[in-house]
Amino acid sequence: MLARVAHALFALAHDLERAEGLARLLETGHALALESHAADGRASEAVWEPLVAVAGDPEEFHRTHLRADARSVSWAFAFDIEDPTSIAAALTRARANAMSVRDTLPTEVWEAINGAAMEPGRWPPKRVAREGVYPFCRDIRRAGHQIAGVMDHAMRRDEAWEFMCLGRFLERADFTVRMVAVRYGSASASPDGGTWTMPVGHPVADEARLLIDGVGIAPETMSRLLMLDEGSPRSVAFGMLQLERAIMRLADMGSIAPDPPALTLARAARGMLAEGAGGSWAPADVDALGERMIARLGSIAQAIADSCFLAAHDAPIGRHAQASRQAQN
Amino acid sequence: MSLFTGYRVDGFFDETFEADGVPRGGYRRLLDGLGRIAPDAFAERSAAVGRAYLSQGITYSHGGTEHAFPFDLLPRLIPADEWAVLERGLAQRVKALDRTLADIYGPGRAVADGVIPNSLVVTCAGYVRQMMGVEPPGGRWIHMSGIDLVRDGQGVWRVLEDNLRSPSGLSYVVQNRAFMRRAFPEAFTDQSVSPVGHAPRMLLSALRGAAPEGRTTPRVVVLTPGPANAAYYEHAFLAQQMGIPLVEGRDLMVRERRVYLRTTAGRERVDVIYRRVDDSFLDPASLRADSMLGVPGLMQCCRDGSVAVCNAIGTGVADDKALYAYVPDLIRYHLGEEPILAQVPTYLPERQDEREHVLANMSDLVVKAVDGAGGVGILIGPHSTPDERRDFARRVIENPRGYIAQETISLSRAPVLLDGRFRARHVDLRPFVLYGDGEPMVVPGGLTRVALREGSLVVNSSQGGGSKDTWVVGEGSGHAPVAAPADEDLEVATSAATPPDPVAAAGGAPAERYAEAI
Repeated sequence: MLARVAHALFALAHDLERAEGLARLLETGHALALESHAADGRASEAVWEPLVAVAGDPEEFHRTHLRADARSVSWAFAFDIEDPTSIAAALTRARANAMSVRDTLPTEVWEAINGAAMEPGRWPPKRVAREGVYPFCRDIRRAGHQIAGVMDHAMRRDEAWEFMCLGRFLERADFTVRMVAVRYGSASASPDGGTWTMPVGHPVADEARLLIDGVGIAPETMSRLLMLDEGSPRSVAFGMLQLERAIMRLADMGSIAPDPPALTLARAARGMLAEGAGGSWAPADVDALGERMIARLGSIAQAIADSCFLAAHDAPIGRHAQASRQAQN
Repeated sequence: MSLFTGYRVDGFFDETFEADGVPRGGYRRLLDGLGRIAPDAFAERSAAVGRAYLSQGITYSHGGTEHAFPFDLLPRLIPADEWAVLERGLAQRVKALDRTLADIYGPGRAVADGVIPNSLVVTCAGYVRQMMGVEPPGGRWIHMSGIDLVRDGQGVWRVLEDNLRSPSGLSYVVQNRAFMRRAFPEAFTDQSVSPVGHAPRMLLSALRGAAPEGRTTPRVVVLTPGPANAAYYEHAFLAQQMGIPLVEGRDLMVRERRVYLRTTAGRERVDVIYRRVDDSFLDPASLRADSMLGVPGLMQCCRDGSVAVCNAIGTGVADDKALYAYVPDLIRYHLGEEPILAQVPTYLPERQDEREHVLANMSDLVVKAVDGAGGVGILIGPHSTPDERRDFARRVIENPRGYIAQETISLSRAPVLLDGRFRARHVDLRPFVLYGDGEPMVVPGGLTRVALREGSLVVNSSQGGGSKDTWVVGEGSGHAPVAAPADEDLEVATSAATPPDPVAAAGGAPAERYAEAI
């Protein structure tokens, strides 16, 4: 597979995952702020500040926004196309990458991505003011499900699929680690573990939790579930398992060299998780484990880039201008 | 109210109607089928297709914005017997042009024998000096061409221009048919329509046939300038349909005089490049140094014959609009045959007497830049203002080699659904000729392009044009026959003899009845 194409597929899946993850987060953030903190004025501290820490860079956020609240966080993470961490920016990038590899993607997949990328444009400020952010997030989440479903039905399990798995599960694992790291400390300190609804982010996931342990939401249970349960699709362990499998498949297909460094790193990361599971699960330890996992996930992404994408150079400035001038008579 | 309420032929050759309210033979069944659909329902189907084109990204890019390519649901029909003549004429023309290129970059016999002037050849914008003495694999220069045809006021098909560099539109031929099947299945009832879905496979076959000798399972790629290009959708579609990689210049590299793909697992040799990048951008080492779209060293590989570039570098010389005037003579010279297809009477301002004629009759002629494309650099005399004519006259005087002039042709019209009812609009036809290691193959029908704006003469998508599906149907439909070229037209096209009276040549009809496709 072309290095450029592999890179575009990886980035595309990464951005789609990010958009869906952010939509879940915003959706539950709004629900939580309304339900638990509408009256006590603690929504910023209890919901929106942590959400900024999970989804973006708090320092960068506060450079342009006075405080984290429903309006500023929704704008920044949903619609601000200038903010590279927003849903709109992620979907725009995803569409551009999908377009650059259109020949590789089944038409239905392209169409689903194209449709999702058009969604933010259907939400002018007036509509957001009228209907709120919740329906937007719901539509984005559904678009994410549709894309995943169409991919599942239409794509061959070939290199393209595996590179997309790499991008998707790296982002998912990273996102979940950040949520756990940010939420565990504060939730442990809280008498009600209610804020754990946020990391799970969706009733389906919440129901899955109940099936597993049948207990109420407790910070330790939830953080263990999110970090360690290999059967939960949004857990770090599940993401790591899928990453490892995708790297092995790519090596088997001859798309990357045998025994790639990314595989060694991914295996070590799973070992790190297993080791953490057997040790103390105090907030400080979980926080430290989260830090190490985030660093390790960065190393895996770098190793994949070094071995697979090195040949895919960024387009030099002026290239697009030349491309647009090519006569197609 | 019928969708055709108020539709008038208005003295033009209409593709669908012989006279007001009288459909041509092949269209009767089609219009019967249409009559069974409520007008609102048909308009809704049409709108749904427009939405589907946008959501599926079947677009072209213009001014940095993507637009859906407008598609009209009423197909254009060409009877099989009429098509058979066009097919032969197109194959003949492309064969002759291919030999012309081999001769220009090879022995130069046509120049030596006085068929074409050397000064014309070497001053063509598409002439690539570095290709002199190069013989592409299999000796083939033109693998894919789009020959623009128009029908004049008498219904006679004429070649308007040859597109031999990166002709676009084949993807729309395939997609339009797919949408027709879904949106207007009733139209196919009792019709025998030649399929077009195999066009990408025909192209792949032609490209494989261009592979360097000894490469039995050649690796073929589509080289695109990238998503910023107006025709990117087509590049991606064709690559997908052919099952071959869509690559950009940065995905390719040259090592030891061979072209390779940069893959995640290392290098993979490339044998055939179907390029949609201009000649001068293909190799920054040999051609345009500031190109960011090409592959350094590619020219050397072409010279060595280790890779086939399709169409070959330098083919632009044969679609120079000035060379167009010589094509009938080149057909006679290289093939020893009379041209099957007529073309539009053309004047070369480079010749003193023809220049005077052009300058004196600008309001009746169409003046084109010889290296123009996409409807740019053109003056349509009957629709021009005095200022525009003065501007073009100045340009012609300053650079007579840079322009040609042609008689204005009364383009045929066809019904196009606009704002809920059919209105007559001018159309042209771009058939695609694919030429591999056998005889030239013509994709049945081709792309009918439509000038959507009322009174507009421009059919290019980049200028607001749309398209129609084109059906080659199994029986006659009452169309005018494909006339053999009138001798006087060919004389005008290639000689400096007394130019004909343009008004007489156009049949003496009012200027506004004349149109020109670009």
